[in-house]
Order: sequence, then structure tokens, then C-alpha cells
Amino acid sequence: MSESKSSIVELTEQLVVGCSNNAILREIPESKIKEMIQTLVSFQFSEDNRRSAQTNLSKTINEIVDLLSEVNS
Amino acid sequence: MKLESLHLQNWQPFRGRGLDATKIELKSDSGQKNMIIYGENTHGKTAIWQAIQFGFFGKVNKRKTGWQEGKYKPLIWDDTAGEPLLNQTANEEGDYIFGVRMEFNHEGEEYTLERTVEPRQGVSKPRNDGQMEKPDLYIRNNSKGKIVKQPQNFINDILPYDLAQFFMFDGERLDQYRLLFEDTNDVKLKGYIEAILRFPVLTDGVQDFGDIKKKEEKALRKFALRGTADEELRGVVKKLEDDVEELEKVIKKITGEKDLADEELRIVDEWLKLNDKGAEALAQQTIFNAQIEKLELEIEEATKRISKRLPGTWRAIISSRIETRLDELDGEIKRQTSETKRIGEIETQIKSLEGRLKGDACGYCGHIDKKPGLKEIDEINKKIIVLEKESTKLEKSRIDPDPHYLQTRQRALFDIKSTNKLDMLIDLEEDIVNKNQDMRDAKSNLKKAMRLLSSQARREVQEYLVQQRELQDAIAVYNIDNQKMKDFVKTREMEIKNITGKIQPKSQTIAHSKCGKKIEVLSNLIEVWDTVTTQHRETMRARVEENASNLFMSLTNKSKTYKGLKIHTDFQVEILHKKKSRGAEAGSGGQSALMAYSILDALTKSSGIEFPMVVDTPARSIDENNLGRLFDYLLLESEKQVIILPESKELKPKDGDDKYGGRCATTYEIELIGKDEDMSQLKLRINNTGKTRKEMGYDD
Repeated sequence: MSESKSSIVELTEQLVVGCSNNAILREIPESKIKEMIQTLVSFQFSEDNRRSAQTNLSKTINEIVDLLSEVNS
Repeated sequence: MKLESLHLQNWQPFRGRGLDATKIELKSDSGQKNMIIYGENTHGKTAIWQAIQFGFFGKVNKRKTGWQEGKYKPLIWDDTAGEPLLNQTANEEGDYIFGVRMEFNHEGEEYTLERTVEPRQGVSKPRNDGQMEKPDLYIRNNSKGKIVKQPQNFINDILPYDLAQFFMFDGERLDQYRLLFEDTNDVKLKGYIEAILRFPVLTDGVQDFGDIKKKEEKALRKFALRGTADEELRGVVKKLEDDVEELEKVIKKITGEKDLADEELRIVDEWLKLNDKGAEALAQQTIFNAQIEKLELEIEEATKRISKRLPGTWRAIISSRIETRLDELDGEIKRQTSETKRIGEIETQIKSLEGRLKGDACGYCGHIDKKPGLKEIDEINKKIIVLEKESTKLEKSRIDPDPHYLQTRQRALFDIKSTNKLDMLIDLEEDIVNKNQDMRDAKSNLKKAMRLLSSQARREVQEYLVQQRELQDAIAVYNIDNQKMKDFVKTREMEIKNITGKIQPKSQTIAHSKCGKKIEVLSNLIEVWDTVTTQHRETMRARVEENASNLFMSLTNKSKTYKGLKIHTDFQVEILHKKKSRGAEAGSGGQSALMAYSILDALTKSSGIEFPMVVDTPARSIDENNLGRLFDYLLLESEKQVIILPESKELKPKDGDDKYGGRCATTYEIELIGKDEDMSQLKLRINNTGKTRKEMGYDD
């Protein structure tokens, strides 16, 4: 979906800044935050009771946890 | 996305076999992207608008129904369904295949889309929709030479169906946006506004992260419970978890029932709003009654304020004369001053004359005249008597009225003027006058509304209103029950947390610690998403308000009266007046329609979605004074691709071509053909495509 400097871009910027200011989330790469946002955008109009969105998000968060564990070890 | 061509086959009044039967082109080599299709009522303008809707979404709303009402036109004529999509003559002649083809450019790549319908295999003469295949969609990426897999998903990525109503609309239905002026809490419309601004990306995020977190917490508890041999403790936790599961089922059930009630209420509201004048009248009656009540209170309040500030409202009423009175007082004081001066002069003159009588030296030059003779003494005495008379008269006049009184009054009047008390009182008075006028208007509107209500209509409306009230009550109960259940779940989850929190697992596995870490990440994601939700909502509200307000002020012919639009956090909209005392209001039908255009433009801009604005009867709700500005904006100023389908009373073909033809790739006019004039065809008027008319199928 084509998005100019619009609501999506705006909220992505705000979320990236929000995560970078959070002590636990600041190590998360920007690409992973954008991946989560993209999942939420793609499934905004899904009619499957959010099951697919949650499966995809959970997968991304697992990868984030792995990344954070690597950083901390 | 830019539309480049639209082809119709046996589509409503446009008869013709093959997808090239009726061609509309709007791709121009010289950059023009807009298109105008002129046509009178019932000639087929809406059919073209609907062909675009059908091409993208495979369904066509019945005329006069909204996008979400689930009422679609039938594919083929049968005894029960009117207005089919298949051309009636084609149907009678046994030509049952119909559909549309569109060519478009999306993100720099060229595509061809085809959506066609044909009878089911083995059906030679279809009689109803059940005997027709479902519309078949095919999209090809011509730039890459590939067929697009899952074509409907591809379309939904370009423009989700729910958001299409912001890009494709009927000028006649702009009235629904008037609801935004009223505090109607039209959740559905406001929901779509939130959707186009992508708020659900944040709110769904909070919900999804919360759900995932719950699952992870359950998994973590399992880890913890594995570490204890306390069977009773496991039993308690299991019981609580079962409780939570059961309660969540109840919550789901209540939510489902509430959603149904919400939908029913929406239908009832819709009926009350749109389908019955009586309902409108009754609703208006309620509004006007409320307005009258409110105005009465406001007038009472304003009157009290006047009395409090300066006892006696009469003072405010006569205060307009204060200025005149001040001038009069000033005149009197000046007169008294001049009289006092004159009395002084007379005294000097009398003194001098008396000196003359006594033979004193002149008071000015010291010269001593010789004593006057009897005749001269007589004349001097006469002069003295005249002067004394004048002096006595002046003395009386000088102290009437008392100069002290005059000065005190002058000071008092100046005081009223300089402390703005007068202005304030005049404002309050004006406010009361305005409110009284508003009240008279409201009362007259109420009378009109009452006249519209026939007794039967009133009964029917009353039934719907009762149903509306019952549904509202039921929804309120569902909400309370839901909250109660949620509280129970919360309590049980706290208990589970307390119990399991005390268990120390014997050893911590990697999976166990990852699960803990995931919960921690999820909690923080929820926090960030939650904070950004509030922030983003305000950012987007302000942006939409600014863009919509600017456009509205450039479109309205009342820019001297209005100062812009105000959009509240719940997307209720007001037109703001320059004169504060009149407050904000919805404005006339025409102004509301301009407001709707402004909001739609601002929303679509903020959405970042590129899609043409396709408007049927664009100026249907706009008054003559604002028409020109609207067309100028749509066809000359807007950055979007604009496709409009006006009637000649909105825009005459010659005028439209003269003024906007240069900015359009093409303009067409729909003509009726056939022996009963029941079919239509397109006549090409302006052609800026770079192709010859012959190449476009017009053999002049």
C-alpha cells in the first residue's frame, strides 16, 4: 500500500521514538518495529478474529527476544 | 493508483458484446489525468460509477444505500429483483456475459483488471443470481508480465473496501456527513474515520499484544507449577484458570450479543434518520425542545448577570443615551463657566463705573477724569443698573443645575464608559436579543416539524423510538455485564499471579526464561503503543482540522462570516463563525456539503492512499454560489485524479469543456439510444489522450 508522509509514517515515527526511549525496548532494531507495524497494517481489515495477526506478531516478538538475549549475553 | 481506462460489456444501459464494446479512456500522454462524464438523470452516469466499484470490489450497492448496508444490486433480472447489472436487452437476446475491464497504473507499474460474470456451467438460460457464476477477477501486471496471485488481496492493499467510501461517493449522499455536526455518536462513521487515519494499527496492537501476553503468562505458570509438588496448589490454580476461561467465554458471548444489538440499533437509527420524514420531524421535535429549554435557561442566566452587574436592566436599555447625555452635560458646564466669566467682567465694569462716580483714578491707566456732571451721573447709574440686572440673571443661571451635581454626573457617566461596563451590558443585551431570536426560530421549526407528523407516521416512529430505547437499554446492560465479567477475570488473574508468584521453580530452563522475557517485552510494547495512541490521535486530529479548515475557507462563499472548521477529538465537526457571540453551527445544506468535501479531502490526504476521487452528481447538494469554486478545486487544483459525473444543471457540457477541458484527459457525454431510449452510449467530447478519435473507436 502506498503511504506518503501520512498517518502510517507518522505513527511509525512515533512508535520508533517511543521504543528507543524505553529501557527494555531500546535495543530492538527499527526494522523489527516496522515489521510489527506492517503486520498490524496488513491485518487492519482482516476478519479472522485477529488470529493471523497475533501469530505473525508473536513470531516477530520471539525473534526480538532472541535478539535481546544475544545482546545481553 | 491512477485509472487509465474503463471498458464495459453488457453493463447496465451500455449494451455490447466483448469487453471493448464501450471504452472510456483517460490516459493522456501530456499529463492530464481527470475526466468528466456528463449525463442527465437516468442516462447511466451512476452505472459508470458503479462499474468502477464492481471492478475493484465485485459488488455494487443499491442506489440510495450506503457502502455498509449490505444491499447489493442483483447480477441478473428476475421477478423479484430490479436494477440488475446485466443489460436488459442482452438478457432478452440470450447474451448473458457481462463485466468490466480496467487498466490502471499503481506505483509505477501498469495493470489490467477484468471482472466478468457468466452463467454457471450447464445453465443455458439463467433465471436468477444463483444460476450465475460468482464474478471472476483477473489482474495482470503488464510491467512484469505476470498474473497477480490473490487479486482481491492486491486490490484490498491498494484500497480496502471499508475505506473506498472516502474516495468514491455520490454527491447526493454527502448529507450523511452532516451527522458529524451533530452529537449523534454515529459510531460506524466515526469508526471509518478512525480506520482511514489508521488508529486501529495502535488500538489493535494494544489488544493483540495483550492477548499474546496472556498466553505467555499461562505458559509461564505451567513452568512454575511444574516446579511444585503441592497438588492442592495446582488444583487451586487450575480451578482459577478454568474460571477465567469460562468467564472469557461469557464475555465473548455478551460481546457477540452486544454487537448484534449495536447492529440492530444502527439499522433502527438509520431508519429513523433517513427513511421517514416523521422520524426526522420527531427527532427534530426533540432537538428543538431541547434547544428551547437550553435557550430559556441561557436567557435567564444572562438576565441574572445583567441584574447582578448593574442593578436594573433599564440602565442597560437607556445606556445608549449616555453618550448624548455626556455631550449635553459638557455643554451645560461650558455654559456655566462662560457665565461665571461674564459675571466677573460685569463686576469689574460696575467697579469701574462706581469709581467714575467717586472721581477715582482709572483702574487700568491711573488717569483721573474730572468729576461727572448730573446728566453723566444719571447715565452711569443706568449702566450700573443694567449690568447688575444682567449679573443677577447670570448668577441664577450659573448655579442651576448645581455645578457640583453636574460634575459628579459627568464623572459617573465617564466611569461607566471607561470601565467597559457599558460595553459589557450592551454585549449581554445583544446576547439576549440573539438568543431570543434563536428561540423564536426554534419554536417556529418545532411547529413545522409537528405539522409534518401525521398520526400514523407518529405511531410508526414511536414504535421505532421504543425499539431504539430498548436496544439502547439492552446495550447499556451488556456493557455493565461485560465490565463485571472483566472485573471477575481481573480478580482471578490477580489471585493466580499471587499464588504462582510465590512458587520458586527448581530450575529455570531457557524456554522458561525466554517466556519471562517475552512477557516483559510485551508489557513494554503495550505501554509504548498505548502512549503513542493518545499522541497520534491528537496529531492526526490537528492535521485533518488544519487541512479541512483551509480547504473549507477557500471553497465557501462565506469566508467573511466563517473562520474555519473545528474538529473535536471524537470527530464531531463545527463551522466556526467569526462573530463569537453567534457560536458555532452546522451551516446550510450547501455549507455542510462543502464541509464534507473538505473533511473527505483532508482524510484521504492523511491516509496516504493514492486512489482517484470518483464522484457521481458532485454538486447535487451545493448551492449555485459555491459550485464554481468546488469544480475549480476538483478539476484545477486537486492533486488527486478526479473523475466526476455531473448532470447539466450542475455543469453544462460546453461550460465544463471550455473551463476544465484542458485539464482533462477526456470528457464524454452519455446519450440515449434504442427504440425506447432504454440504452445508452458515450459521445467523446474532449480528447487529450494523444490518440486519434478513430483510434478511440469514434468514426467521425
